[in-house]
Amino acid sequence: MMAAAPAQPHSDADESLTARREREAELVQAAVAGDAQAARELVRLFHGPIYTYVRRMTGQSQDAEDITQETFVKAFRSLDRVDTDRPLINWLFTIARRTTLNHFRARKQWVELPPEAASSSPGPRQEVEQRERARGIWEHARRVLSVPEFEALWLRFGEELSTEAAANVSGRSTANIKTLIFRARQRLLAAKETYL
Amino acid sequence: MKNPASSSPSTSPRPRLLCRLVRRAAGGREGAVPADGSDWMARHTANCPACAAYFVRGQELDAALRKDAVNTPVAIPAGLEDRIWAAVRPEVAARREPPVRARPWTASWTMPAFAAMAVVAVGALWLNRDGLNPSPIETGPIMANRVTADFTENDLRELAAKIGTTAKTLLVPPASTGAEQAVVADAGSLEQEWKALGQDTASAWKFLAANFIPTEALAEENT
Repeated sequence: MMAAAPAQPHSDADESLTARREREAELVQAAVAGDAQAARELVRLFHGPIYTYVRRMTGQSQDAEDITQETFVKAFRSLDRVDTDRPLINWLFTIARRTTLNHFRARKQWVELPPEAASSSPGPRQEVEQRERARGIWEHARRVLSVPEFEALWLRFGEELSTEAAANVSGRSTANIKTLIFRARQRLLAAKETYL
Repeated sequence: MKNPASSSPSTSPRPRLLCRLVRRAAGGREGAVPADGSDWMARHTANCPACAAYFVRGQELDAALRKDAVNTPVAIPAGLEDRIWAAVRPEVAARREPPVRARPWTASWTMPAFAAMAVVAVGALWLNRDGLNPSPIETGPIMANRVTADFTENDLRELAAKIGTTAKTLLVPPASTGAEQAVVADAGSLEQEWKALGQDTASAWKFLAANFIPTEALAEENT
């Protein structure tokens, strides 16, 4: 297992945003023309953020792997239609989100408890809080927030997208994203002592 | 009984209306603390310890969210990249292959044209036979001789010419569009082939008339 930074596909601090966009556009154009090396590079750059996004949304490792793979297959099938003037990661997030929704269409709830949490019997409050703290604030948020609230919060603070970009990815209006984030923060602030 | 919220609204469990308004409005700015002296929100926050504490907690929450997203990253399963690439590679390889050339328009109507020619020929013979058959009583070799007696060699030549005309009609290509433009250039040579085919058909009819129609035997029978 290796860890990946969730928000930044590139780790070079000196690489400017413009240069990164141009590099992405070159890779996309080459991949559209059938360049296997460029396509492989796109997979290398973006599989981590996409898997992280799906894994955060679903809480399921195996499902996240399947959805990530399906996301890339769909993306490469329609790669010639991508707008290279916009960040590729946002487009991939959009595909991943739709793929995840389709994947869990038959289920009532998108987010499911991890097996260890679902099977364990409720213990003393201190133990519950300790587990919450150990899992981190995002695991706690995934449990207490609605799916739209968690998604908006993750896109904004986890992926560091702008409000407008988060709105585009999730297919919502900017005002709706702001409202969802406000509600999510209110809920987390109300239970702040649990995880901070 | 005095309402505690009216005496100390900032410390009451439920914030008063003005506090909620300030916090909701700040939510539109993603929880940003109102700047000093910027507007009524800033003035309220400066004079309301509860709202000031609320915005401090909000800042701590935002920082914790960002920090936790980085410090507790999701572990990427080993081999996931290879697995994705294995699934994606066929899609990329398919882009390298040249597009399949569209079938020429001749391929779609050549065989039906042949079938139409055969139907026309058989139908013409059948109609002529029925029209020349005077009586359903006459059967066998007599009937065959009567038919062939009236169906002269000139009739056969006319029939062959009709077949040639029909072939020319069938040779008119459909309106070509799009990808068919590439094969229109081949239509000239194909038309020549069709002309040759018509001539061959006429020759075949002449051969049949000259060799298999017993005109002399019929003449003897008539005499």
